[in-house]
Amino acid sequence: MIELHHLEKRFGDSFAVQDLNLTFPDGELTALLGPSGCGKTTTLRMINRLIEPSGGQVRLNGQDTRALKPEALRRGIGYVIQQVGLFPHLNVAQNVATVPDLLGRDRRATAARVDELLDLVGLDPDTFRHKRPGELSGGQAQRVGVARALAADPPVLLMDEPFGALDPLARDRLQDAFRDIQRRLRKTVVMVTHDIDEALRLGDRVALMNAGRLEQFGTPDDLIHRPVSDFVRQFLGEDAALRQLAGQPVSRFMAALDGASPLPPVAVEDTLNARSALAVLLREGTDRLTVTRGGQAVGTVGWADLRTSGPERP
Amino acid sequence: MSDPAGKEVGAERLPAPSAAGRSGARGDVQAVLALAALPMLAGAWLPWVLLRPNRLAPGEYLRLPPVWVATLLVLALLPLAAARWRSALTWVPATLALLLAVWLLGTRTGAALVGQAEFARASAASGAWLTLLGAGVAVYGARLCGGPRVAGWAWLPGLAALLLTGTLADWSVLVEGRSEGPRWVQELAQHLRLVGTALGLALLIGAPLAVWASGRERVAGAVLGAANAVQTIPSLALLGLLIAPLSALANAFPALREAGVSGIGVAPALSAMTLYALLPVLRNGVVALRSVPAGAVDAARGMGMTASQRFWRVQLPLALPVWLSGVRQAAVLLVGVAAVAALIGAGGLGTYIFKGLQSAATDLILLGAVPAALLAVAVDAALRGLETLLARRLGRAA
Repeated sequence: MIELHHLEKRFGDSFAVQDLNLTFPDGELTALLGPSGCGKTTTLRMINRLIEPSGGQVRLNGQDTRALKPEALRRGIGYVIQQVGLFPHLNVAQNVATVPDLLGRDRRATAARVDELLDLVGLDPDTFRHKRPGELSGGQAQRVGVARALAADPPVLLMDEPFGALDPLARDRLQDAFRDIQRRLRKTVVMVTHDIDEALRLGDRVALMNAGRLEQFGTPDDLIHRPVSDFVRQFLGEDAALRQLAGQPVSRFMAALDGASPLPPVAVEDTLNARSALAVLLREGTDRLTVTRGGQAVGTVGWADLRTSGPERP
Repeated sequence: MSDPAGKEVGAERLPAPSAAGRSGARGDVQAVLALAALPMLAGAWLPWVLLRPNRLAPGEYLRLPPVWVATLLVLALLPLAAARWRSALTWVPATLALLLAVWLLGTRTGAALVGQAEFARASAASGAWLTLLGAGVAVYGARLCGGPRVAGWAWLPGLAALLLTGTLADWSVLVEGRSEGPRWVQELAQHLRLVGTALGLALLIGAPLAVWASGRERVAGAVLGAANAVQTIPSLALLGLLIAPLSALANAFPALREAGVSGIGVAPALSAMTLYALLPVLRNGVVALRSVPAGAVDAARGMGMTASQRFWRVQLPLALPVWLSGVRQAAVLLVGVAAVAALIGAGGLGTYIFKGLQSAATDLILLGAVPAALLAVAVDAALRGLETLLARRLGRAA
């Protein structure tokens, strides 16, 4: 659990972050969202003390982070950045092994761990282990970046616009891959982003910041359905609900088959995103769709299902 | 330029698909080889050997026998012809021309001295120099013509063999060298010592300064400005400028004088040379350290590397190839400046150059100048090799 208490950062007379109180719950991904210059990156970098706060406190599992040496603190926290920052003179395996090596872990155990992590991020160890960063695509490089951050199995992961520099296709794939990884590992993740879709899609919770202050902290549903201010409403935009649906498969919203009523004639695959399912409802002028998996009906979905306060999270 | 054979030459050498680019690059090679042929053609006709009763007296010029003139004329034109029709074999006539020129210089000086008195000297004259120059350019041009890579170095074992068998023993410069003997070796060692010490001092001062300045915009500007200013002072003037403060220092602190510090000699020479070498070391160091990707440094910090771990594991390895090229520039520069240092009594190969200038003895000048030039080339090649090796090992294809 990461707690921010009255955290502030001043540069001269102006505040980059002001009186920030926030608790990032264990095992959840919190998206730090906001327009550029709102202080989200500064907040993130104060957590691992890449920037020293001018006031307030950061507590990690109840302990003030100032009690630790910065290097020791950082070795216990995964760190992923937009520029990826792989070391170009080291190969993929050496890059991933950076923190275990810093911690003086056993070489052979680390080598096994590297292979395990490359598998986890979807890179074949035999193919990629000995490649240099210069030989990787942007998406592959950031997969290595994520593997490197996870190498020492830190409970906390800080990510600064990790998918921001990728082309849309690679970004989608990597977001999916990362969501699966997070579902398995249940790290406490703080992810800075200015991409609303990304925040709604990946975030268990969203902390929306504006001009150095916290505007709203809650689940994506909270922000969309219960915005606390005009700023929140405007920032998310009129189509925020659609954006949220776009990030979820329709199967999350469907009602179980009751066996009695006849199946609706129009069918969609269960992997289709909920926004597209809504578009199909509109196009067909119908009230319900059959949801199929591999041609087999597995449920139905209608207007009301999509209108509920959103998907439950596993 | 549109004959089929010529096209074939271009096609096997150059990846550029455009016909214009192809004939352009091929034209360059032809131009280099033509530049090589001209001095060789002239050199074959001109006198090769200057025979003098002693090293200062006026003498008579001797030409080559007609058979060798003819051979040289053919060898001068062969590389040009080879480049057109058998591009990969251009190195053969070029290497032959160079080795033949050296061999001729040796045998002709030897022949000239037959029956002469002990103090007679046979030096190389304009024809020999021009031919050697042309052959050297031809060897360089042949490298641009393809063929096996080692072929570009085929002249080296040949030349070594000629030297070791004593072919050039009667050439006046080597006669001077023999009479100097161990003293010449000492001066060469002194030259190397000066260069090595100054380079070491420049690294010792420059490397930490570069590291310190690379993170600070204004400091870097000031440091580079100062080093630049030093560089604009002519080396002779800098040596002169250092005489006064160093002799003042030596007078003020007897301990320094006992340690060998004085206005002339090794102390001012080393000071000036160190100042000269500082700029390339500093400039390349600052540039190299600044060009390390910011993301890599941020990631290193974020993962918990200490400042020294960041430096040794990330910044230095990434900066080293570029930095090393600055060290190479400094080393080559120092080989030249060290020759001037002889003027203020620091020794080195420059001693012969200035001794020769004073007594108008060309052979003595060459005894200092030729090895100094070769030394610069050798230092450059050695450090260049190290750079390539490092760049490859550090994953940046050179």
